[in-house]
Amino acid sequence: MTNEFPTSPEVLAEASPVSLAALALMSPEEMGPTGEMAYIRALQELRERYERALGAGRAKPAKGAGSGSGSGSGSGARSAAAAKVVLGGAFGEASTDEEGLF
Amino acid sequence: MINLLRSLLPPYDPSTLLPRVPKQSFYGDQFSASGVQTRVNASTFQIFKACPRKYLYEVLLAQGKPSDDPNLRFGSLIHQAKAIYETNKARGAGHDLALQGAFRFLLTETWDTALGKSNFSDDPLKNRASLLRTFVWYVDQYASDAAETVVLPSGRPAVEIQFEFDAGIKIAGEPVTFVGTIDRIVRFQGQVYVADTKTSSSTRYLTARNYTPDGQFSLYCAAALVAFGVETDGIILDGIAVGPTGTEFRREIVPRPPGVLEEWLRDARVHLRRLGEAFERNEWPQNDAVCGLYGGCRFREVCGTEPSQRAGPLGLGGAAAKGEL
Repeated sequence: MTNEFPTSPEVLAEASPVSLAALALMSPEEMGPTGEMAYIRALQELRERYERALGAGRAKPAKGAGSGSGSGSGSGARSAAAAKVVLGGAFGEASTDEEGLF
Repeated sequence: MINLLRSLLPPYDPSTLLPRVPKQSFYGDQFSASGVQTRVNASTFQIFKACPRKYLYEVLLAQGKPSDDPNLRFGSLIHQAKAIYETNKARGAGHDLALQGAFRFLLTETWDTALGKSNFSDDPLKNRASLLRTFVWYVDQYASDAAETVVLPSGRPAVEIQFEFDAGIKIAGEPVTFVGTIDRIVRFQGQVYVADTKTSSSTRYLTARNYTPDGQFSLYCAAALVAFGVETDGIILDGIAVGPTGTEFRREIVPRPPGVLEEWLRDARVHLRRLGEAFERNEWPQNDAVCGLYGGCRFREVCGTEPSQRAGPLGLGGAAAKGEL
């Protein structure tokens, strides 16, 4: 199985200035509305960095393909997988083994 | 023309098209007073079709107990959070506010206040942090989605719609209905689809091929027509692949031609008859051809234990602990 997910230091690094690891260990009360928004923004920033790491050389998807950026200054470098709409008549790649899908 | 399905259509009346609302429990509300399952959803039906013994253990003996499977819980929470986000939007909230409300729901659901820690698994892929990350990324991914929600003949937007319709068969003299919840019915590129979300660890599992055939998707297409009067062209599968450092998205269209749906319904009735026979005879045979599929059934250890000593591994006590299982 190929690893589809980048593991470069850039992606693995936490999105500053908020520590995602610390936020994930906080209770809703500790976090509060301000913390919630900070967490959301940090995750959105992380996505931009993740996509930059993935996206070198990948084309920006068409809107009709069902993807879109709602995250402020999005890089627009959506992955090919994210942009792809596959018609079922032409099946996607076959899976050789199975796992639970939920 | 989907003749067999159309034969199940009630005369059009908006009040009758509003489905009875199933309770938000796993299986507890799907059984008649006599203990027979007369309201059948896709997941319990799939379990019975795969292995009647697993159905006995998972559905009948564990009635009402939510599964502790992190994969199931992850998918379920994503669905619930999506519904909150969509509802917030429908009530006029902007993207950020709608997202924050759904995000707060996830934070609360995954926190044990008494213990002061997360109540979600520490699975390397499916954990609290990856759940929150996946949801935020998912909402951003489809923030300007080209798929538009269909308005039902009743005037209601087709979001998180619960359905119940007559399956056209009886078990122990009682009519059987199919029940479930459809995420959304959408119009996309000129066609109408049931939209559903699936999570996995890899996009390669999130393909039309993997869902052709698939009982849940066929049931949802049938329900769109029978319960809501909307003839669909198939399913939009919004795949979510959760990785250790990020989440990927993949959208596929899964066709369900009318003839395939008709065939599914005919076959479903045969399986329902067998479900009825299983209840009438109290026979729940193992299907040992499937024990090793999908990484192995979680009841393999139970089925390998002496039948008289299975109550312990099944976590059962009291009357259920006596006798063979």
